[in-house]
Amino acid sequence: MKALWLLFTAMLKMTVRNKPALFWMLAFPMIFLLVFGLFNMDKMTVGRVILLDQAQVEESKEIVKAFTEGETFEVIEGIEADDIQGAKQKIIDSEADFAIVIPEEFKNLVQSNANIKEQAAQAQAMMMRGVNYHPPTPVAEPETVSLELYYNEANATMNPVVINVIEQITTKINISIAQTPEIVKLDKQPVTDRRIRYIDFLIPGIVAMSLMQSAIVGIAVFLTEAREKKILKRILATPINRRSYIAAQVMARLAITLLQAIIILAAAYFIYDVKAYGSYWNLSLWALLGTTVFLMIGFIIASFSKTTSAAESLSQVVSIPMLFLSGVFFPTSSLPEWTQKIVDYLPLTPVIDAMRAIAIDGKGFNETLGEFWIVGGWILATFIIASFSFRTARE
Amino acid sequence: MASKAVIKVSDLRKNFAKTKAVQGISFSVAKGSITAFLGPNGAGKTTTLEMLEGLLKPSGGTIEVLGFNPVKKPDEVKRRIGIQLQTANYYQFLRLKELLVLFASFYNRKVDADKLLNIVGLADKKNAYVDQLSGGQKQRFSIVSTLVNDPQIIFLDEPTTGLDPQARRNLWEIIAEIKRQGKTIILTTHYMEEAQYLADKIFIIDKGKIVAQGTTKQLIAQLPNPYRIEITSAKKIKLEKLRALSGVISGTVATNTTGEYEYSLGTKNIHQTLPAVVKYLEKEKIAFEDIAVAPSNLEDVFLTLTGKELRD
Repeated sequence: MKALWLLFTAMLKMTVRNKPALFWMLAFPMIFLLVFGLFNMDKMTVGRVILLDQAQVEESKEIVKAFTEGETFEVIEGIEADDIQGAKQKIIDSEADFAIVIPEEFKNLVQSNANIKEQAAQAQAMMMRGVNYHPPTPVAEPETVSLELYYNEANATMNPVVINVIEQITTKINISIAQTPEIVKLDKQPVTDRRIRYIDFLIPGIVAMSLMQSAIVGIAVFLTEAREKKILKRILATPINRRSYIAAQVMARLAITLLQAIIILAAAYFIYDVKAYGSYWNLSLWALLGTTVFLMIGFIIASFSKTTSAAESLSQVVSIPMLFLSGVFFPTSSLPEWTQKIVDYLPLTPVIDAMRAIAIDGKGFNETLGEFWIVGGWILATFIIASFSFRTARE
Repeated sequence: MASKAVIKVSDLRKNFAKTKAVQGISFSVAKGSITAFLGPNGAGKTTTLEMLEGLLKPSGGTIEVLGFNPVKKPDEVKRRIGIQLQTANYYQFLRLKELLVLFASFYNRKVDADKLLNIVGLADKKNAYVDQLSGGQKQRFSIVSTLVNDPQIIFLDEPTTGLDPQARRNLWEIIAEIKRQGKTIILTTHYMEEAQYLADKIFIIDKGKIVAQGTTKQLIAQLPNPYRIEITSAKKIKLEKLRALSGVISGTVATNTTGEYEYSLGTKNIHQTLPAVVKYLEKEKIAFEDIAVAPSNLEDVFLTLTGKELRD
């Protein structure tokens, strides 16, 4: 037990004292954070939007107003509500970033919601009077209306922000229909209070990327070096067993990457005022889940690498494609469909998606269960491979 | 010295994919002694040691270390021995003191790291990293790291390889001091001076077999030519004439850097051969710069037994 603790603290000490490695562990994500943050800041705060309100009811005007009042968007005026072609042209000419169409059917939606509201009010009023009330018919099934969104696919930095905002509006509308008819008041909130910038989108990606890098490279290089320099052999010449040694190793790495994630999140908070809307505990939990997969991958690489430089390059071969494909910088939706299907099942993608869902959309852990099962599957699979390959790699 | 044997080995074998590294060796080691395995690189010294330490599984034969079989009870053996590996490395970013405490914890023990470091003269380096040490200091540290569990037997695999003569001497003193504390030491080396200086018993090992064993004196006495007469001369002498002299068993000639000839004659009977040599040289009016008589050394033993130099 004491050996485990001493190994754990020794591992932490070594990480802190290895200045070049420590520098890269923190500097690498910081450089991305600073460069991407500065690069996009100005452009990102103002998205140019065309609003085509074909419904022209009070509620649709509220939506338009919400866009106009916020600082996130600049509303482009002067296009007739039914001139979708004109709006598209503006986007193509880069005079606007996207256009939202509130179709005429929105009127009906509002109307049916008003009916539901009325029925509910009646029911309540009757119950208050002590009348034994049975609703004559089940409350009317609400209709759905699609808001149309036009955007330029080439505008990769703007799109995640916009799509995110729109998704929030639409979910809120759905929720509001299911629960309470007051739609529009809820809609307004995300647009005015939560200004989702590119940097907000970027940070969860950078956190996931850096924990992937430091877990895979860290464990693979550390173990290969320990074997190459016969440090491992010297340790295993003592009565300590392999399992305790690996357990200490895993715990130390989890602690290190968690600390790394916290530092990046803190830097993002202080430099760019990036806040997570969901729970930081859930974010940490996801950081640990992600690290676990990548540690296992690191173990597998270590058991196949004879030299430290081989371990280094193999780690890069595994992590670089994920870094670019799994949506660290751009949403995976901009990839071709078939690629996207594969990418969705790479271990980094669900980690990033879950972290974004928590940080940007304020989702709870049980709303990331889909991602959890993918990552859980990876943990199981890599654990089995790692324990097998590491055992056969013993000298 | 009829001491208790702490290690008993019988017909030990180890086959690797391509080579038969150890081909049936048997020996025992007395408690409190220093045993040296002397042999060239690739003779099977390290393989033998690692099988005794429980790090390598033998292909055949039996081993008993302190009453335990290292194949079946590796932890029982590991707990009671100290191991220095040939290319000893330690974590780069841990201080010497921390490393000793860490290693002691692997044995569930607490150590007085300062006291240990003092034994090998590294007390003032306790906060240094291993990478900041010189070659000799590194070796001293790797020796002291074998002491953290107060072992009964210490295995040192080529403890002085690559060190300068002064550092080597220094290490010999430390090893001798550890022996005085009552520990049994087994070391491998390819320096015959080292085996000669330290070992109570020497096993000369070549191609996976023990070719000779005993104390230095015993080994040399076994030779047909335990003495050497060395002559340095500016003039060339006919070697066959020298070889024909009374009692001469072997003779070699080499030229040194100043262009002089150096003759070495092996003999068993120095009383008979030395006067004969001097007489011959006087008769032939050969001026010699230098004539010396020396006992043969382990190098000669090795050369005689295996037909090759110890270090090549």
